[in-house]
Amino acid sequence: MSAPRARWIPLAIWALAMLLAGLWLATRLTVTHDLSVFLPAGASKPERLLLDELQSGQSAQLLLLAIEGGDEDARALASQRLAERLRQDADMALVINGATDGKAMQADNPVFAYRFLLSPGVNPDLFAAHNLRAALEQRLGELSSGMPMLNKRWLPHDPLGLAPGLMAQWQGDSLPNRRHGVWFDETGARALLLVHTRVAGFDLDRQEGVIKRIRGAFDALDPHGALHLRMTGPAVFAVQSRQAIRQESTVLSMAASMAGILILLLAYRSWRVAFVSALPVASAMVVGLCVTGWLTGPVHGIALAFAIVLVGITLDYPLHLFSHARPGETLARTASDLAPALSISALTTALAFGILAIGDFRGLVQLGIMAATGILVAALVTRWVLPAAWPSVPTPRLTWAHGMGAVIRPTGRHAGLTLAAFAAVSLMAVLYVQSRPAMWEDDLAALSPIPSADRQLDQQLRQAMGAPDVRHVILIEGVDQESTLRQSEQVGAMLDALVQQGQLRGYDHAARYLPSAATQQARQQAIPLPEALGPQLATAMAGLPFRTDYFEPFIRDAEQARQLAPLNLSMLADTPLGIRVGTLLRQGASGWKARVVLRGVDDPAAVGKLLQDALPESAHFMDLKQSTEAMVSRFRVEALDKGLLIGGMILLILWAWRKSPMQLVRALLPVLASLTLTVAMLLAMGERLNLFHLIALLLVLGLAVDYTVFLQAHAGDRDERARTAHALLACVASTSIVFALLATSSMPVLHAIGITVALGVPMAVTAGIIMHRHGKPLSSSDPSANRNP
Amino acid sequence: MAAELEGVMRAFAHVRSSEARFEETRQMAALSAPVILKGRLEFVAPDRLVKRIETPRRESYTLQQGRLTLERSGEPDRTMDVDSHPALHSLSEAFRATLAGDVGALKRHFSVTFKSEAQGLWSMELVPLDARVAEHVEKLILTGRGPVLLQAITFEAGGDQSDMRITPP
Repeated sequence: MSAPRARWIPLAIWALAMLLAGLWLATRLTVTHDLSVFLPAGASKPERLLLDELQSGQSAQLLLLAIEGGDEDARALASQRLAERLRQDADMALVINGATDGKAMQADNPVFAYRFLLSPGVNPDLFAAHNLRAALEQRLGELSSGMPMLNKRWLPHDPLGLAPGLMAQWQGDSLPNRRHGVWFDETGARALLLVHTRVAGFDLDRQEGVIKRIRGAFDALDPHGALHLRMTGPAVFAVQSRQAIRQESTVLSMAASMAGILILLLAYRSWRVAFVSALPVASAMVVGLCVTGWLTGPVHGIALAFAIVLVGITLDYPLHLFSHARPGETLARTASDLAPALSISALTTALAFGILAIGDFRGLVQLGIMAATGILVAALVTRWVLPAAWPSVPTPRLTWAHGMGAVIRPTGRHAGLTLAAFAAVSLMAVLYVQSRPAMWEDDLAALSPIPSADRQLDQQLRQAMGAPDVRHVILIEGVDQESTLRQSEQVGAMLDALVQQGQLRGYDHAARYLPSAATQQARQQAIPLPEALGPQLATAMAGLPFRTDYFEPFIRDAEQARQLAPLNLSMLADTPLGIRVGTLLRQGASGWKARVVLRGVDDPAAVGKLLQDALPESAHFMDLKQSTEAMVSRFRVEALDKGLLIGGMILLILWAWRKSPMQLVRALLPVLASLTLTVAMLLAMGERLNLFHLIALLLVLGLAVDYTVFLQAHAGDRDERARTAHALLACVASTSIVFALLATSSMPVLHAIGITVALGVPMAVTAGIIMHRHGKPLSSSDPSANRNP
Repeated sequence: MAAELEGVMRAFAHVRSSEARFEETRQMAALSAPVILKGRLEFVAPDRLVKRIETPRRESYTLQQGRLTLERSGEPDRTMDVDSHPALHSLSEAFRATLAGDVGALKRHFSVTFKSEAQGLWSMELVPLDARVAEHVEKLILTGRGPVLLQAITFEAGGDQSDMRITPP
């Protein structure tokens, strides 16, 4: 085997792999920012419904706007002007600011013709002469009241007042206050607008465009900046998280890279080494991202940011390599010496993340694949490519490292005491953790990068505008629109009883706006034929001052209504009513889904029971908050289970490496102590643990094993100890600084991993060193290693 | 003409409060006979206007600072923001702004044509500027003598008319 040829093989393979991966990334990679990727494909049926609800039910097309600042007049005027401007934008389906345009329910509104089919009061009795008479008397009273009835166009068509009745019913009791003719919140501090866009929820680029145009329109109205526009809604949050992720990822990764380079320069005083050290990490990211995208499709932004951070720890590998390079030795030789320790630590860490990739949590799967692939790639590049590319590198000066090396010299003193101390520390930390009441964060919202102030504003605006703020909902599934609406009506009838008993404050559902065809047809049949209606009306009008032929249009309309095809959702496309119904009823991938939004539920369990008895198959009562929390905690438990599995696997690998059980205990106890202590410190700092803390602990576990392996495998003589100490210090310093930077992130995910690793790694290495120093020397070059403690 | 309008309005601006009886005759396409309302009007500068109706049934409408309150025996009071109803807002401003001598407000809502007539009488034709109002109200004609309002005729867009005659005490 000729050396020069062998040298080119890894380089060629590496270059080809980089080229292919780079090409794939440039042409095929897509990045998504939909937070729901971090939810699993639900296992149970209610869970599936819940996820569906979270992903699409909350109407991703809804934007809530609030105008603040200035005085009330200025806010009202801005609301008017903004609404006028936005209505001209083709992407805005509906802009509502409370101003009555008087056209809501006029004779020229197509829905007006359906008033007989949509009004709940329509039954045969309604057309009896005495009921007609009562309605006419009421209209007469209105005509002769002090306030003139200005809009009388509908009157000859609708003496029963069905259309105004429908309007009142649809508006419900949840409308915001009006001041100066537009919606305001209760205090008058905010003018409110509701915008429905035509842009699909997942189309973030267009959503972002819409949001920018709204801002632009507003800024043009208010060049002096006295007023502020605040926006919330799913689309705003999605766009905002994407921006936050992009910005923070960029800033933090730049800061982290600078810190890493600085440490490299300090440790090796060579630009070349600093540059070369970045190669394994860079290769790991390129290949890891490519494999992830190739296996799982669009990569989530958070998974990407997170995995880049995880893969960043592979900077350790070249650090070990360069620190251990002896003067005059080829890098290939160093790499081959380090190979066992490097393989053990890369395998254990990759395994830990590989296990993470098994599961139904798509975000985690991506993260796991990317991290595991990246770690293996970085190890391979460190082992084969770096020595091939740079046969020799300047060795670090170890003058100060010798002092450090002395610290990690095994002395064998107080070995038993050290073991006991570590056991005691672990136990105390576990006891402390056990004593904390609220340890886990199960609120899904707390994982979102949206500041809690914005989420609160969203809640307030939803409440003020009567937009559904869903906690208790009933989800109904049906094979088609009609059967779904019928079931919704059935549920409605049950809920009406609860409302009457005072157990429920109110509810909203699609059938309130759009009754089933069956109901509409029943109402059509209640309308008398013109031959009957005419005389009944004449009887009712007797003695009243109405002109005899004035209500002819009513008789004509009633006859026309008898022959209408029942109204359905597609006939309402792009109308305010259709949009309203669309938020409550939609066609899913398999069949139709309707939501019944409940307000003021007294006894959730009773509602659930009632539904279970009446419609066990197709209607599901849900407490969204409780259900998401249960789901999040289930993932956490799953992650915890996986963590145990990972722990077991690592144990086996280490056992295979160091056969003695006692040595295993001594390798693991410091890891256990530092992990438990990290958790205890996190809780003491007021953190509530989520899934991402757990993932970060996994990373700490991997790093702790890594440090232990290198400590034990490369601490033979004084020079080697100095080199190991040098490598460890460089690794720990770079890792701690990078993760401390992440801990400053406003994104809960990055913050969680940052703070956990920044705390855990220094503790893990300290614990490892203490154990190593007070333990019996383990290296096979040391004769004392064979004696039992 | 502008000066005459200003003159009458200045005179109105000096009246702190006023009271009068009214009789309102409404001709409507819906009804074969007119509806006649009788009652009292009260005004307190600058923005309190009360219309008390005695027949055909007792009710009172109080406009104060943009809020309209309806009181009717046997029913809970109802209050609404006139701003939310453009036509109602303009109609009430025709009365309030005239009685308060607020020429600015009047011109914000209407195009005003003022005419002096014999015996110190004047008349004002008010055509709504806002299209949402014009959809329902074609014009108003107010007649008076000095700072006293004597008649208000409302021409609705659909052809209905209301003629309110006002008798000072």
